[in-house]
Amino acid sequence: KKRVMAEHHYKLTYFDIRGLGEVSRFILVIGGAKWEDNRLPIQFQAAGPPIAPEFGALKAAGTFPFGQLPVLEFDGHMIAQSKAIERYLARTFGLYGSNTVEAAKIDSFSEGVTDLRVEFMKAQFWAKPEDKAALFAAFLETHLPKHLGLLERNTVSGPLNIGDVQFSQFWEALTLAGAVTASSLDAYPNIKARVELFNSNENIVKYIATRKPTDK
Amino acid sequence: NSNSNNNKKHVMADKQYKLTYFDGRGLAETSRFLLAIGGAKWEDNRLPISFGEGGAYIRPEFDALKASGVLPFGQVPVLEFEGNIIAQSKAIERYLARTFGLYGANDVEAAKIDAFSEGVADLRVEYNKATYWAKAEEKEALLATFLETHLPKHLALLDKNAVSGALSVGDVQFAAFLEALVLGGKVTADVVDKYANLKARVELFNTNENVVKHIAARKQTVF
Repeated sequence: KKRVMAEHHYKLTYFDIRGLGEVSRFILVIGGAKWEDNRLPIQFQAAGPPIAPEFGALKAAGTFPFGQLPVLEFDGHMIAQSKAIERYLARTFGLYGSNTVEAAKIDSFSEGVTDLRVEFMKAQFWAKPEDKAALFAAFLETHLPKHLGLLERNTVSGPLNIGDVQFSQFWEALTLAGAVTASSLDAYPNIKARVELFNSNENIVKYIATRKPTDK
Repeated sequence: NSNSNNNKKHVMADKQYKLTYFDGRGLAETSRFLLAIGGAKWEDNRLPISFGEGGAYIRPEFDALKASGVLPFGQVPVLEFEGNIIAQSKAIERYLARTFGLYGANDVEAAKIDAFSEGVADLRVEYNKATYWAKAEEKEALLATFLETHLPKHLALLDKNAVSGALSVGDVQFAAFLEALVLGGKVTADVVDKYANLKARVELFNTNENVVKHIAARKQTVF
């Protein structure tokens, strides 16, 4: 089934940033898929919404099921919603464990990563500008260690899974933003091992080496 | 093929599931609905909870369970079966949906159902921002904005992305969320009337025999 899947051509459309598209890019890469990385230009401003005219035109034409990116196209289908895309690709490329119970445990870890992302969003994107500095400090001092402790107890061993990819991408984003360093994971050996499994995946190494750097 | 699915459902229905959550609908009712729809043999393990001064929780059985370290994320709901314990409400929901055939007929359909499901999650986040996560003094204004702006916007998107066919996990998640808004007095059930696809999915849920029985027998709770 994996070999048949690898013959499909996938087109992932997202902005020209890592953002909510990078986990899907990672999974496509890990899976050895034939895929097109369709990146739409976007400019962020200090004040006001981001500028993305190509996206705006497509959105106005009703192209996207939820009016948002990313979307994944293949075989005449278009799937929206980043996590629906991630779960579809994970299932297709064997990153969901070997049975339904294992899949549930991986999903549980995945939801734990989502909980951590939501805390991060509350402190950064959803916060009022005047609250951000204090909220982000509280995130780093309190929420992050608490959630890392919970994720540490819930890692699923075995081959690389979707939860590992989601966590590793989130951790990469925090690292590139200068919020954490590699040694911030030292107290969490299970998580650290899963991130190392991700980092040492041959396809990931190649992809990251040639990936264009972006701020987000 | 449909035979083997039926055999699978029969085997699954013999399993004993135990769902543990507070004595309320909250984040567990979707899973309770799924277990009911699937015709499972299951135990509805409800932990007492009441609210004290300044909104403090009084829930000693939960506190003891949490202190014992048995809850994988220190939270409920958890689903137990065959020596396994699964935490995280959405992981439980997706497991039950897969087990009882509420995830479409193939992986692509499952992805479309999942997209709808994520749309429901987005709507829940907007609601949470206006309620649970909001500062007390801002709640009234935020809820008004939610009802006037965010809710219609999201209902229109969900209407566009409803997946036809058999009852799916997305339908159950949306129906449970809508029910919570209605029972909480925030909206009336006819709020979906303008959205024909969505209304049809809610009706499919409302007319499911096992859902009807579950709701009729269910004790009424504050949340």
